[in-house]
Amino acid sequence: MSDSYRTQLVDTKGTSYEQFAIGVTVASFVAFVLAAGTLFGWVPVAGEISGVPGATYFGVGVLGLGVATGALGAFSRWGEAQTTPSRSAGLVVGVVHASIWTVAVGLFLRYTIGIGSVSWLLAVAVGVGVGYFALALPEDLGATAPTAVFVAFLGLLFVTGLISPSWAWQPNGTNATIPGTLVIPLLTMGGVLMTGWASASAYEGFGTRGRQNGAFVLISLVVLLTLSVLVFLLAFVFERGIMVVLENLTLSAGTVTVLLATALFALLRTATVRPTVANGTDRVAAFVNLTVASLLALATLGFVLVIGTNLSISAASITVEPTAVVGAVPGLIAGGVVFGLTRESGEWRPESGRGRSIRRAFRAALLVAGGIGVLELVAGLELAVAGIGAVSVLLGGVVVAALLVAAVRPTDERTESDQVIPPVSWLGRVAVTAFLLACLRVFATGFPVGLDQAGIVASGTIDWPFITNPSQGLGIQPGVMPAMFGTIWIVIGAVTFAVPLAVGSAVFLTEYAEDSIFTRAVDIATNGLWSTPSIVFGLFGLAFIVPRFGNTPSILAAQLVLGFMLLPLVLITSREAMKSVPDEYRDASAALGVSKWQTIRSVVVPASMPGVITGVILGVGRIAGETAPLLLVLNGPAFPNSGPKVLSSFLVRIGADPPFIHVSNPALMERASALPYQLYAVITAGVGAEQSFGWGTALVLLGVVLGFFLLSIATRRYFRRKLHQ
Amino acid sequence: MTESVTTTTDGSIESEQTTVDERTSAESEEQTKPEWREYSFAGEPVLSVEDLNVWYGDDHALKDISIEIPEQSVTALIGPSGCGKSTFLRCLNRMNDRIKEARVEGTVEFNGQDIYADAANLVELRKRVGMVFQHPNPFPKSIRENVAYGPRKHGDLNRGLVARLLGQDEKEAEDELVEQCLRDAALWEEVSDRLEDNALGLSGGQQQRLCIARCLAVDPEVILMDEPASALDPIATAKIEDLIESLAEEYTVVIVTHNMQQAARISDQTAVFLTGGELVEYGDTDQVFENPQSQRVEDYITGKFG
Repeated sequence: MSDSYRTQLVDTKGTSYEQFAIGVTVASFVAFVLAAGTLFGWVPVAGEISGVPGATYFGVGVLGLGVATGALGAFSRWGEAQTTPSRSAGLVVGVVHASIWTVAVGLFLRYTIGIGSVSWLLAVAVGVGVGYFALALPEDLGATAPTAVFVAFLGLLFVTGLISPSWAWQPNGTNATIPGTLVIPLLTMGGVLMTGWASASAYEGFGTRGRQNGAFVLISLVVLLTLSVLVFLLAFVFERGIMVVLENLTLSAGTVTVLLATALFALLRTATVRPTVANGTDRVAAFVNLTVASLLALATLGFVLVIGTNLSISAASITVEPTAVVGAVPGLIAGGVVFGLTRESGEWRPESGRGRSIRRAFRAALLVAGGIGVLELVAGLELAVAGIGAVSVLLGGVVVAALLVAAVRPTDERTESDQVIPPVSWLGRVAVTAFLLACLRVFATGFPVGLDQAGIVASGTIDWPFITNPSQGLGIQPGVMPAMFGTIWIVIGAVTFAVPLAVGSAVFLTEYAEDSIFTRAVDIATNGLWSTPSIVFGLFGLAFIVPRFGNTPSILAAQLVLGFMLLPLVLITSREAMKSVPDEYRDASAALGVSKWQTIRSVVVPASMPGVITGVILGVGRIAGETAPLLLVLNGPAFPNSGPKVLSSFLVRIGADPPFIHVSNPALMERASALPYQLYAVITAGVGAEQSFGWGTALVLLGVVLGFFLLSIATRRYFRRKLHQ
Repeated sequence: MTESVTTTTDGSIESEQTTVDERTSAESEEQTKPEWREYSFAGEPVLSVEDLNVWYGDDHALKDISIEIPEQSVTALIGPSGCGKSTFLRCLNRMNDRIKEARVEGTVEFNGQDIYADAANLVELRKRVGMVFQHPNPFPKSIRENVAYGPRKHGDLNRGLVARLLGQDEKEAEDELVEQCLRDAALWEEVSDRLEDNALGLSGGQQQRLCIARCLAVDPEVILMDEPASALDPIATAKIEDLIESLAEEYTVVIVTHNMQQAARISDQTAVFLTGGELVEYGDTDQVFENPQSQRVEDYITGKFG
């Protein structure tokens, strides 16, 4: 009985009442997820499951949850459950219940029963009554009973088929039609939010702790809904675009294995994969990491098997060839990542003379390999296939042999003078360096290293038509290469233009200018500029920038216009970051006699770098997807035959006139395409067959933005580590 | 300061110290001084302050402070909260310049040169008169970078990519300096194996000793300390106190403290500031604590007030 006992100080969970309550919470949670899934089309509601309509399952479930919630209240009031309800459920609960009941009863009477306008009068009366009921009764009844009756009623509506998937609601005076397939999941989600809240409150025995728990569950479910909307959006684009993007993709198993193994290594090095030693959200993250790591490991093994069994896989126009050939560029990326990650652990300082000679021998071998590569590059000849191949193979062999020796020999038996055998980490680093050198040599000279079946080649290990080709016309292989490079160049240009300007202004406003009307006006203007519609920027670019730079829309104009758009956000975030650098640092630096500028350069700006990069991350997300200004200032062919050749068209001319060195880049002054621009062109072309091309383009655009995100996040992480470790 | 002192002893005056302002204070000689101002010490005053007044806006924070601080000793400034002792300390290396509404009048001479003269070189002054703050404030950089920060920025240590490319990298000199300063600050034993770690990972007491090491690295003559141990636990405080006593063999230490026991333990002379921004008593620490001249000081020291 709720009144006849005193709260125990130590709460031993596990009374049957608590188990029942948590059961209801979990069931509400599951129902919420299922209803959300229905909304997104993952769970069928219109069809039948073993002869019973999907809606009936929902009805029975919701009805059961309603009854269970009512039982929770009743047990607390009249049963043996030990709870500590407050005297009233509180004003908020009362008002919420009153509004829900008013709307629900009103709609029911008006549209289902069909008794004219008087239904709203009745509904208000019922609502006020329920509200009073919730307020006047003790919390355990006030919080559960209205919920229970309402949710049970919903369940009955679904079970009896009064609201069925084929049913539709057409509110008077509008053209809208809200189908039952939408109403059922929405009502279910609303109802189980209430039962989840009530049962979570009951689990902690109502009262202060109960309300705390109820609020927690409510918020968790809302967060879940928000996240699922985002995931749904991404999944929607992914699902429609992925097959177009991957069309005719051909991979060599060797390259894929190397990339997967690198990803696995990077994950193991940087993230925790042991859920047992982590706590809280870290534990969840560790579980996710463990799953990803296991999948990566399995996939890696799978591709090794593909190489071993020499069977090519091809599914849905993707082909994996069973060769152990690694491409030079993927090899460089993989090797670079591993090299970077092992930077700190790869030191070996042997104390004995023999150890030092071994180390010297390794270094000499690497130098020879690099030297041969340079020689080949300069002479333009394939000098020493045997030479460089042999060096790599030799290094690899030595490494494997030494690994074996090191593995056999227990570490604790080694003495100080016995450091002839290099540590495994150092050997691994030598192997990675050798691999990198070989990749670099292949990349630079184009001559392959190794055998036909296993080695490093310059190209051909990844054939990805959608990404690497221009579009070849309607109905043939679609491609996004020119537009993708257009977007990448525009973003790079905009960031290079905007970030130094913004950081410089932020330094002036924060460190030099005194807080005055001037700085406040600048702040307001910056905020206003950030909210200015992008088409206005585009118009400005068309009228002001385009006539001054070659009188034609160009990549440069697009870079500048998007740079202007990026400027205010980076300025705002940089200013905030600099303001939050503690004055103690500035004092400490001044007390050492260091000048203000030096202090800014070596203390303030480094400490605010993470904030600056946060601004860049947010800004790049916006400008990369910007279409409107590009229509005006980029305005090239939507499907050009070739990408902008920015890198190869830099012209450096040395002349007698100042400034003596003239740098120009005609490619920057040309019209081009960009992903959002091309996407717009595809969709407005209105050809049905091209729609999948549009989804593919959208997916690549997402990928490019995500790539910039990852790059920025890695940079921010680098600066944070520098500041805090 | 009298003429005779300037002419007879020059041991402590560095040769590079060209006179900034050779103001003789004849007028102040004639002012009537309280009895305790007769306090005399052997040797040269490294800092001598005459009629220092400080205003924060309309608030008259320090009133007519005149004091001479002897070299290679520990001078404690004690007094209740808000009596202006920290303000006074910050006048000695012109850190008050960083507060916009602060206005300073009077003379502060460092080795005979007026540091408030128009031509005074702030960089040089703050290099010679270092400061340690109440809260440990190491930079979010490695321990090594913290210690080497001052010399690197002053160009005394040539480090970085350009230096490395030109073959002028002074890593050895920096290693030596860092070790020496950390040893002097009694921190070397604790951090010698993790010089590249971030200084924010150190404990509060270690951070404060690192700040002292950072201050020592620019080779100051005077070290100003603003309640350096008030944010620390008793063990860390004891370490800082030992350190201050050993520093006094080589440096002149001026320390603001709330803690009268601390002042009595470590200082050679004590100045008592009381509410209203007045310097009420200055003399040998033993004398100030055992036999104060002023009744107000006696009340303060015995705990009847403040």
